[in-house]
Amino acid sequence: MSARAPSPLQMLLFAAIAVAVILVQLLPLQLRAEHMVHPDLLLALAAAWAVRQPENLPLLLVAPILLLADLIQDRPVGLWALISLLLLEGMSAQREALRNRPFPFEWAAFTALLALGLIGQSVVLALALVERPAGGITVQLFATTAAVYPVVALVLHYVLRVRAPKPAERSRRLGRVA
Amino acid sequence: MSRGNDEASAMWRSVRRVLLAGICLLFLALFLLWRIDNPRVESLRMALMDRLLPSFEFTISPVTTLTRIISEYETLDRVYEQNRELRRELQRMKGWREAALQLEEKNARLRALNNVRLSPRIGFITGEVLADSGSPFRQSALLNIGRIDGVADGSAAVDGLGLVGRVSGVGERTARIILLTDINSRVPAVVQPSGQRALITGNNTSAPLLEFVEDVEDVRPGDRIVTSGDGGIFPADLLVGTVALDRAGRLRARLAADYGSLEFIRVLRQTPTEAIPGTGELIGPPAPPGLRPQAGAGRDETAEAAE
Repeated sequence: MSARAPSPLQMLLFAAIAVAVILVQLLPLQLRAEHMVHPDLLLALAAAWAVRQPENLPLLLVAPILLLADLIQDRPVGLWALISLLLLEGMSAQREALRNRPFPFEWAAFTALLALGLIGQSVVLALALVERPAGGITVQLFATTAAVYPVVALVLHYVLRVRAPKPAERSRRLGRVA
Repeated sequence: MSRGNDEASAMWRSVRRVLLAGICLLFLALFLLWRIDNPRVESLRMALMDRLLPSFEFTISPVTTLTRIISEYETLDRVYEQNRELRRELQRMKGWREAALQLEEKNARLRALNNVRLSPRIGFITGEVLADSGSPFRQSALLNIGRIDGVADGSAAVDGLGLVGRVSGVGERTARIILLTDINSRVPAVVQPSGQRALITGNNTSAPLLEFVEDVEDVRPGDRIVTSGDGGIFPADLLVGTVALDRAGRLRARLAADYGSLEFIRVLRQTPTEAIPGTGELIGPPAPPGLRPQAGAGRDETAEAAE
């Protein structure tokens, strides 16, 4: 076995939280233009999940949710979903390295990928001649999303108990394979 | 067995890689389609919201109400001084009300004297705000009224006081309002006492810019801004707000609509003004009776004379 068996219950949990996050962001609580920029909670959640339990985050679940968020939140269709998906892949590709290091490394990796993603989005939008808002909002989105990542990771670890396999578990598994 | 497992997982990994590439390509294609054929994708988006939101309304409304109650509870401790302030204001308003009633009476009398016929009344339909755009980049609101209620694309949306935005995207039961503060919003307007024309350009701040003002000297902070009706999309003379100067010296519109507490929005149903086709015909003097055949010739003569 290369990984733990995927659990449908955990997938359902992810889907439910993701839909709830999308809906909460839709609530018409602040229609003023200058309210605080919400973090991209969905992305932070999916990224933290991808590091801990990628087997419960199948592509066919996360891709439609990302696209749904794009459609509902009135963003250019497909672009941010594509960037988010690549970011998730990046996080999950480094998961072994990240799990063996203290949390700040994981946070730094997420922040770096997020910055890359936002820059990439701006470049593509500029190339496609889509009218873009002033850069301030993008910077705020970056800051809030990066800031919310540790909170999401804490909640995942202690409240929802979405955790990476323990080192002991892993070494035993390695021993069996070898 | 471990070998078989390895092979299976290697195969699974390559399948996954193909799947990932496929999804990425699909997303890219969707983005390109959105860029090239925007109206079609936007109507698809509207259809999705139309299908999705009413079924979530029962979850959305209680949460919204609850949060509003909490935020209003915070202002409860100021209720006493607010009450006193309101009483004072009411006193002042009573005076104004008296003045307004007298003016209205006088106005009606003068109108009757003049035999003025006003333009047909504008009907409206009120909807409740279901959701906002959910993204910091767009300023829009979703209403729970749609095509079956007679909402049309492009109609003006107002709250009790002033213009809020424009309908952009209508589903069967939902409609999206682009707020004046959205980056894509442009509304032609007139600054009132001076009659200067301007374009209200949203820029994601709560005070949109006032652009293309011909004589900036003539526009002063505090002047009233109303829609001009240019372009035929909005009715004329809807209140937008007042002129303000920002720190950089640019003209901005301080909006009259209360964006802080938009709960109900009216969508105006405007019947388009009738167009008058062609010019009228020349009217000659009335032909004397018994000279009917010559009447046409006479008209020709007048036509030639006119030419």
